[in-house]
Amino acid sequence: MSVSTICNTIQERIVVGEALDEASQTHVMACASCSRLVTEWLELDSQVAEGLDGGVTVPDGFAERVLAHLGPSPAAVSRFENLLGRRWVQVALAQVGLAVAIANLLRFVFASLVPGASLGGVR
Amino acid sequence: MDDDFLIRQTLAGNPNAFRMVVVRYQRPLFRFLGGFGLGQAVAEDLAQETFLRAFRNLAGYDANKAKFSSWLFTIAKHLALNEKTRASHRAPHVDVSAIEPEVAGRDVAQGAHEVFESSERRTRVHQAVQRLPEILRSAVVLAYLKELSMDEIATVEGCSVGAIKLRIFRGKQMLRAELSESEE
Repeated sequence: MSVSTICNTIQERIVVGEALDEASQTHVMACASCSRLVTEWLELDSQVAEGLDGGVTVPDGFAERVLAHLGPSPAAVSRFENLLGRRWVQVALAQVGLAVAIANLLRFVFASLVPGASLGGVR
Repeated sequence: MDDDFLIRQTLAGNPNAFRMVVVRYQRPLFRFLGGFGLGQAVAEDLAQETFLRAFRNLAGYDANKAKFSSWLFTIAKHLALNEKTRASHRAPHVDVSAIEPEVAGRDVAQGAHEVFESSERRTRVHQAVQRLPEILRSAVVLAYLKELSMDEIATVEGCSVGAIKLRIFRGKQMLRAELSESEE
């Protein structure tokens, strides 16, 4: 690998914020270009890290506030939700719904075509 | 104590375990939400909602698919993006706390000028981060938090590690250009 290729590889890792191995760190110390870049990026990184959050801070007692809103144990909730989340349960519920809809439709059609007929209704 | 242990304890009904989870992640989570340009009140609501959703869905969390931290930040990211979309449809309003962060609480002896300069620098950085394209911003903010590895950031962003490195690289290059421009 040529010196410029080594520099490019190391400089990309510096910018992305990846840790440098021993050999790369030794190279940075000896290379003016890489050394200058590290300094520049360290300055930028500390500047950005300082202003990143826009002054948003954790309020006092935040953890307590969250805990006060917790419902029942997630394990208890999950049994019902897991059941509803199962594919076969969803398919079964959908089929029951479809069957009821078809039965109601047939009942309506039958009542319309045969005046005076009723399926279980009270006259 | 590691996250997996705390999750098992939470699922077993130990409320103190989830308290530890909240305390461990509240600070990075607030910084992450702040990186989306959300004001203090909205960040508080979303951070709380993130933890509540994590709690409610904890039994469905699969440690083999993602680390807990990645999962938590993914929830926060979706909430933040939804909020940003909603906010863009509402009438614009100025969040004073976002413009003058922490000025009120600073030590008076630090000197008004120093406080002003520091505040101005932070605001400039914050605005530069906000101007990053959406696809780069989240990756850059997560990289600066230093809470997640590249693999974990890739999980949160739903892309490969290579793509994440490229996003961080491009995002930081844009930040540098923008900040050096505003200093001139």
